[in-house]
Amino acid sequence: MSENQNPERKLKASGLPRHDMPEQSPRKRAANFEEVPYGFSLQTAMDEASRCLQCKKPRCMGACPVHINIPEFIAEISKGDPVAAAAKLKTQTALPAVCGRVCPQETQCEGSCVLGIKGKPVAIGSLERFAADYVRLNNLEETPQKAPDTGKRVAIIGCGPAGITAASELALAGHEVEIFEGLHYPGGVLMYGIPEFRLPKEIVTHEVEGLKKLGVKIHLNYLIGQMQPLGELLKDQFDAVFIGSGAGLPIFMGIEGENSVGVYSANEFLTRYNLMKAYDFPNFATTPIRAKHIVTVGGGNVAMDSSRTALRAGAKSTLVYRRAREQMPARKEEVHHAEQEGVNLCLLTNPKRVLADENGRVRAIVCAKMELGEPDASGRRSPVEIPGSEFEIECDAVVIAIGNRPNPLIPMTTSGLKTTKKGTLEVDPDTLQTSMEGVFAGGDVVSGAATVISAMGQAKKAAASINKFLKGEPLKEPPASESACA
Amino acid sequence: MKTLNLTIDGVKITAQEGMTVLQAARAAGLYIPSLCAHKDLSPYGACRLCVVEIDGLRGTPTACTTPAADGMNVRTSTPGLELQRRHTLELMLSSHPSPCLTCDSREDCESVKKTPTHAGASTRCSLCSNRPTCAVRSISIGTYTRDIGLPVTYSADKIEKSDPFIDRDHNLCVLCAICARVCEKLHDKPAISITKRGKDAKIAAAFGKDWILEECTFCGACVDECPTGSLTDRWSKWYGVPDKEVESYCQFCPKRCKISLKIKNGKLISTGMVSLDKESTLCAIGRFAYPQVFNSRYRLTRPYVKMGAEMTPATWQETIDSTADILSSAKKLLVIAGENLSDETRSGICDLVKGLKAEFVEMPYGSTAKDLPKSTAEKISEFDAVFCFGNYLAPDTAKNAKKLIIVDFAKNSVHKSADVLIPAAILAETGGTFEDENGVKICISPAVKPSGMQRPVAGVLADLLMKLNLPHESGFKAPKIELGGDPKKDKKALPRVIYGNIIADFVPDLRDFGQEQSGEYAPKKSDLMGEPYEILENKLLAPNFHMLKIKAPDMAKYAKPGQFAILMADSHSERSPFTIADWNADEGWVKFVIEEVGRSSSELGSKKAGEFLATVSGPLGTPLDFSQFESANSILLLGGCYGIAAIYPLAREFKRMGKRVVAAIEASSAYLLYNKEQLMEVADELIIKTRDGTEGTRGGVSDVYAQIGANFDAAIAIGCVFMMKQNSRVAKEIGKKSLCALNPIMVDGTGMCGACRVSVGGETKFACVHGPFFDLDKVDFDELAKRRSAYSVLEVDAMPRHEGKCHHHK
Repeated sequence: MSENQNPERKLKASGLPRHDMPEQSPRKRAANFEEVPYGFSLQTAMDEASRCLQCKKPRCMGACPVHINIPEFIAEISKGDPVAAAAKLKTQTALPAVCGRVCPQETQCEGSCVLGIKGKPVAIGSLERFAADYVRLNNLEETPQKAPDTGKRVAIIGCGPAGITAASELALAGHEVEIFEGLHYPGGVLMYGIPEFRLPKEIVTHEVEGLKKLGVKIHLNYLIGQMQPLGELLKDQFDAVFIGSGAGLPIFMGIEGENSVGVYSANEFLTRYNLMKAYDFPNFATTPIRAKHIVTVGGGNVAMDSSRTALRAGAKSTLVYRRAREQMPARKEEVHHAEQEGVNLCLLTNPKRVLADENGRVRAIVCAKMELGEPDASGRRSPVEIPGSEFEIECDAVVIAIGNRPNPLIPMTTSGLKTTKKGTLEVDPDTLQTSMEGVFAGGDVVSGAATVISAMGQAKKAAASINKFLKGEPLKEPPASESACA
Repeated sequence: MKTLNLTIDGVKITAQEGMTVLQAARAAGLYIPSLCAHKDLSPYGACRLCVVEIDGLRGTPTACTTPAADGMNVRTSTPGLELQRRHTLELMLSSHPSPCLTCDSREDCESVKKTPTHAGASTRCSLCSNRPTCAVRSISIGTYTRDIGLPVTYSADKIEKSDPFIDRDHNLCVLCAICARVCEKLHDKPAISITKRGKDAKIAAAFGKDWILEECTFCGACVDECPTGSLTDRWSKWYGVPDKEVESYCQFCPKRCKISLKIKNGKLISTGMVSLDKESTLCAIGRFAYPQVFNSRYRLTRPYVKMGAEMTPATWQETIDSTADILSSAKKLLVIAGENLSDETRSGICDLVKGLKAEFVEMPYGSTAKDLPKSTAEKISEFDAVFCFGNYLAPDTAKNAKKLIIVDFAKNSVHKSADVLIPAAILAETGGTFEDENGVKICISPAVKPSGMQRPVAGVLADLLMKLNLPHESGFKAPKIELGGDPKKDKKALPRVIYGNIIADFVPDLRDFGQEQSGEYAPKKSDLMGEPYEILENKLLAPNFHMLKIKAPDMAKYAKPGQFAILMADSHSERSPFTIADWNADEGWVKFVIEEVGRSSSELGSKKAGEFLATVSGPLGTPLDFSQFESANSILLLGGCYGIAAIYPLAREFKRMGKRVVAAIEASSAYLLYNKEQLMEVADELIIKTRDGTEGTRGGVSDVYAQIGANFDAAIAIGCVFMMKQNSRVAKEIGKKSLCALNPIMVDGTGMCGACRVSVGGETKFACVHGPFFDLDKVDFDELAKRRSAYSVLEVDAMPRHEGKCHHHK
């Protein structure tokens, strides 16, 4: 049937413009913490879905870190059946409502869409979000079928995107899964890091509740290493362990004045507003950052989240980044949103030191102007300081968003767990098994600070390895025909 | 009136007949100390600090009760008088929590702790909201040495918080009776007096009942005149001393009482009477509710205009333009406004109504959306536009309006139906001409700048009239508003509504006055937090120090000496770190000693056995590495405040290792010491230091460290930043191994936020993962002190303020 449809679709699609989600206007949203895009209506979603060519060899699928069968779920939407679309999605990704919102689609699925060559790609992210939202908001979600009980037990360390994905995969495969989360609320970076206006927290809560419905047990306030050491988990309670503890150790610049009152890591700044709900102070007791002018340092998505949160906190917001716009690691859409809302971008600008007043509080940040020099190891042209270009930016708070390293807690308390120089865990790239047998890892703890979806992709891969491991199959052999673990 | 000539301390002065010696001296600018004398009250003679010698009079009469006479020769500060005064003051201080006054390190300590800690009980000056203005303190510091010869008692009376608005701490009372005398002067039926005698004497309402049940009208005069921190305004007490006081008029009700607006750094922090007389008393709304409504976090602070389908923050220009557009294109317009408005606002509304031939509904004083005439509510959709000055539309009515312009001072759920939202300046932000209850015109000027973009409504109306080209007409008549009763005398007659909004919504304490809330701002809760942790015991070890024993088997199993945990009382609480004071793996419990120093610790301290904590997360931090002490034979442990509890697990472990352990603990005064027996069980010797010398020897543990530290192989100090800073100076001199355990601000406690970073030997460390133990001599304590005070201003806003009856019984 699809063969017949294809030419017709092609014709239709070429003439159909891409549908973009309606959004809160920049002026409105810069003053609230609510989500920016409103989402598709069923009709718009169907119209957009009908643009999909249903390629026989879908390039989008290959570009997806979790290999979602994208044409398949889009076809269901175009038929007007978002429930079926969501059911198909749910078997392949644990967090469709999340991925639809925070994935860098422009470099993944949408970046590979054939339609994108001559025109605009299918709005895959928006459609994924639509299907997931539709079933959640209308209470039409179906709990996926679990495989029969295997009697095996798996411990998951960290309840962030990697942990949730691995837990979901492994629970569906019939294992008994328990998650150990250090904070008082599940969700990891989805809760504490990504702001409400990009990812409403009710979605995270909903997804975690879904996980509980699968029988996954979540221990909160439980830090493996500080409480039970990892080694002990494997001794008698669990048959395998997945580490998805993320990259939660903030990197500071090491510049003078950085310990002044009013200099925050992006983690602290965002955690106060997201997890601890400081925007609802004093209903919530965690104090917000009251500042007139907040300078955020960095050029990634976290820097964008911070600078946009700063605006919503009522401050003037400036972003300082030492390279040029083209080198910014943030999603284009995020940079665009930030600028639209009124974040002032100071590019090719490098912070040199923080100046404080007599009470030790930030009063200004001294920066130097930069120009682009030779490409560095990452292939990006490295910035070089222009001599004599130092200048002061008056501000009363500085947020450092230049990256995170994995928290050293687990390797520190686990003998036999090898780490790299960057503090990430050493794993076999194919199996994601760590230097300890039966201990697998995925997400930022392996790759260093990256995206939600790459963490999920790794978690899915690690879960597949764990399935093999638990069945006693060799991890590296080409998969035997009967190992239907996907 | 006859003029008298006197000599005081050799200075010739004149006085008027009828003056007392004290009044004469003060009028001439001469200082005689006194606590109970008050310029607006008759002489009382209770404190006996104003004793003087007068030629020809026997003994030492009190200047406040002795009439001045012609030719009198008065001496105020002979050695004999000074001694007598000192004895009197010592007697007073022996039952007033005063260790800070006698502490040798007071100046040093207060240079680190610039503002008092927001504690539960004011057990000493540095925990007392009244520190900046305390009369006892200033007299003591100004007049006397630091030695108190008498035993110090602290009766540890529980602070009474059962009444709305007012905290009563009898421990601080010096029985000057100013409160009772003020009450008697101002009210025909005074509500409070001194009850009982001798050491049991205290200020109370008759039969010791809550004041809300008595004649008390909550005029607040007693709170404002109290020279100590005994009576305090629960809401405003931590804001400090106003830098400006502006005399104005209250705008809540048509009485228009004169009111003093107290302002600090441009923020209205409190209100009070303009002078201490019957005519100037205020009602509870004027005295206590005013700043709470004014500073409410629900204030609408910027205009919004519907652009497309959504309400968008707008500039004033856009707001005026959009409003004018809606008004000018409406063929049928409805205007709704209340009665209690300035003449300028009212005349603007009248001009608008006349000029646009609108229908006008006037809402009587005190009415809300419920009182909107049914006939009006039903036909709301017949109008092309509705212009509503205040919260007079129910959500269902507002929904039916074709176009809706709302002027209001607070955000509420009706606003989502609006097309234009105009933020009104109110109370101290605005002014205008009003009529007082006697029909006399008064003019009020704004006293503070609005916190956001709010504007006085009269100005907005003037802009609109100009934009719409409508004429200003004079000749409107202000309505005469009838008040049901006198709010100053009758609690039932207190204003309940402002601009159609329920005042109790912004001031929950008003529930105690029988005022009901609308539920508009009721908190919505939803969370996925785990199983709560049961409290097995909450024991008050010393004032402000609670020992919480909590069921937490997992933590008990893995806790090690020196570690800490993050606690949250409720799901909306902060994550705050506390040292694990003790644990038992077999019985599955952990213990913490919580010192009340702000909102989070107060919330934790108020939890009772059988209740639950939302989060107990730990053990966290690197446990103390005992292997580094293998070659040490003797250890000196130094503890102060929470550190007394924190050194116990270390002492126990060192003892188990067979070391000689000497524990030195310090407190400001004997009544703040705790856990002595527990420490004695595990230490070879316990040395006690108090700042006022009431137990052990006088001084701090840094004195012990300096004296005997060199005899020990290592020392560990745990306490407040000031205490550790003192000890770090000693550590540098001694030069032997020394550690401290730090307790900075943290959010997560697992290395994620970096809020806890400290400089140790020039390197930045995270106290939560690298610590809490660091080299005592290498920590930058000045930086730490600054970082710890990062939120001190905001923390005041977070203090729990509503502990009246309703709150308790909920």
